[in-house]
Amino acid sequence: MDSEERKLINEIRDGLYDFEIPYEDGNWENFKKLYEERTPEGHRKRRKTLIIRLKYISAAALIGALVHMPWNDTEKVGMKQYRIFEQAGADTKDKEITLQLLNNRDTLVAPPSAGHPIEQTPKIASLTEPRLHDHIVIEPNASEMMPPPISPTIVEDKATYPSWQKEPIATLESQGGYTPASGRWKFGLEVNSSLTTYRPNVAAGILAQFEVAQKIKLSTGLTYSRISAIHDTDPVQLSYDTKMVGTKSLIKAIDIPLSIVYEPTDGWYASVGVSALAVLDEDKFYRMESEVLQENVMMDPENGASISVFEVVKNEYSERSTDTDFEGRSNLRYLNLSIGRKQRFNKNTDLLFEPFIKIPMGGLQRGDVNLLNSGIKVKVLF
Amino acid sequence: MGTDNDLVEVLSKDWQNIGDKLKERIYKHYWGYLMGVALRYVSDRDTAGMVVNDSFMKIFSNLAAFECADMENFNKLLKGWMAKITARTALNEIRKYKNGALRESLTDEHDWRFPVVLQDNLYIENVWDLINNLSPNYRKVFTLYEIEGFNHDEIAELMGITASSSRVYLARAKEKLKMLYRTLMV
Repeated sequence: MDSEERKLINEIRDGLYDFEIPYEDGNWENFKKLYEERTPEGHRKRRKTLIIRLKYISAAALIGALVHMPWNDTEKVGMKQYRIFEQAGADTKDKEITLQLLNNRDTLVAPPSAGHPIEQTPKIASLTEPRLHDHIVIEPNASEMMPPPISPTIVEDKATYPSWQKEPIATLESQGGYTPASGRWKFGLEVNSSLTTYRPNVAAGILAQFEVAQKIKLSTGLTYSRISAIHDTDPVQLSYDTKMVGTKSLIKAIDIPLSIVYEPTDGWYASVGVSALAVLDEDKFYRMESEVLQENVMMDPENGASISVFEVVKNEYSERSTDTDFEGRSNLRYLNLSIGRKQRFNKNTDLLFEPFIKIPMGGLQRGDVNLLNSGIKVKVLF
Repeated sequence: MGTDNDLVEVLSKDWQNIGDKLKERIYKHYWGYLMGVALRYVSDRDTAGMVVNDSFMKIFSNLAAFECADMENFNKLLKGWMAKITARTALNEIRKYKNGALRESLTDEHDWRFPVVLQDNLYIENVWDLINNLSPNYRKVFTLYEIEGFNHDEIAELMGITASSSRVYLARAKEKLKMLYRTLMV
């Protein structure tokens, strides 16, 4: 290599080595988005962020529930106790005064006033103490007919106490009061059918509901679903007589939802949540249409000669595709929105009717496949 | 954000473990350089931008595998390593569109906002003029061999040609460059 050549190459190398284009704003942001979508590291990071967010939401919900519940329960139990003691106290002073039985909704009860003998022991447990019996049961000579030690529900019963002549004084029920964590779980079954797809989708499964607060519940479950979806594609002429007119997918999947249920009034509720879809099996079919020229031989009624009549016959058939769109894929999610009506069926069973809409997200959010799903769920909760 | 020297210093100490902030600094610092590398192979800036982003994905995924034997020249070696990745990515991109517009020679659309003065008054525009006047295959072989530092076997594999063809292309490219250089400097 001569010196001229060496010099030239060095100049070119130096020139290119130092050549830079000024950075353009926004490139890093675009790259970051791409990087998170394409690389496993980015996926992991996004999943981690999502998990952290879910943890925060759950923690916030639990804290909210914990803060909310004790206040409510203490208030309710306290008020009811005050009412009993207030009324009992009144009765012991003047047996002729009749106090109306106040129903559950009545909360207009004043707290015990200063100097009231009973106010110093406003605890349920104290009601079992013999020295307080006369405050509870007004009839003085009915001590042998005392009810058994107090239960969460004290309901006055005239049949049990025949000598009882007064109007009932109070009712203390545990309804709406504090429920232990084990009693806040409800389990049930669910079936649903969609209305918007070209063929009704059916799903059935089990569900569990946890009462976080009086009006807020967390619901999860496991639902086996059969989803059929139409691909929004234009017809493709494959040959002179065959046309592919559409594509449909039949998916068998397990749907695992997690929802927050808000029940502002007794019986009506709304719910929002997400669900992860694990596709067990997917069949994809191409809907084909072929036009075949068919010859029909007919007899001429006038001269008896046979004539051929040609007609185009359309045949529709399906052809199974070897590829799939969702099977084996991750990040298949639905956003679930619903409102519902809860109907008490019997003491322990609720029947729920819930119109819902499932909006595809993540890997389900494909422009050419319509996986938007809505219909009605029927749930039974025990 | 610190200076460029800070970045190289921080990076040279622990390039195997970098966080998001450092990735952002690396991207912003080397983006312009890698765009220059990509533009040696592809002609339009959009494609070059795409090549650079793909290259950065590979760079960030494999940065832990980068080996530096000479820490004094860390930046130079790192740039060379990045440039090699970018060149490979660009050639893969060209292969995807073998008959497309990507094989066109570089045109005047390059951004010459910061011309670099070279020895004997050879400006960066002149360098690009020289490079652009080579036929696509000569240009690729020349830049891969002389600038990126690939050997003929690697170039043969990258371009889908034989190693002897690569040698011939390189020799012809140099001849043509010398001829053009003489014309340019007259």
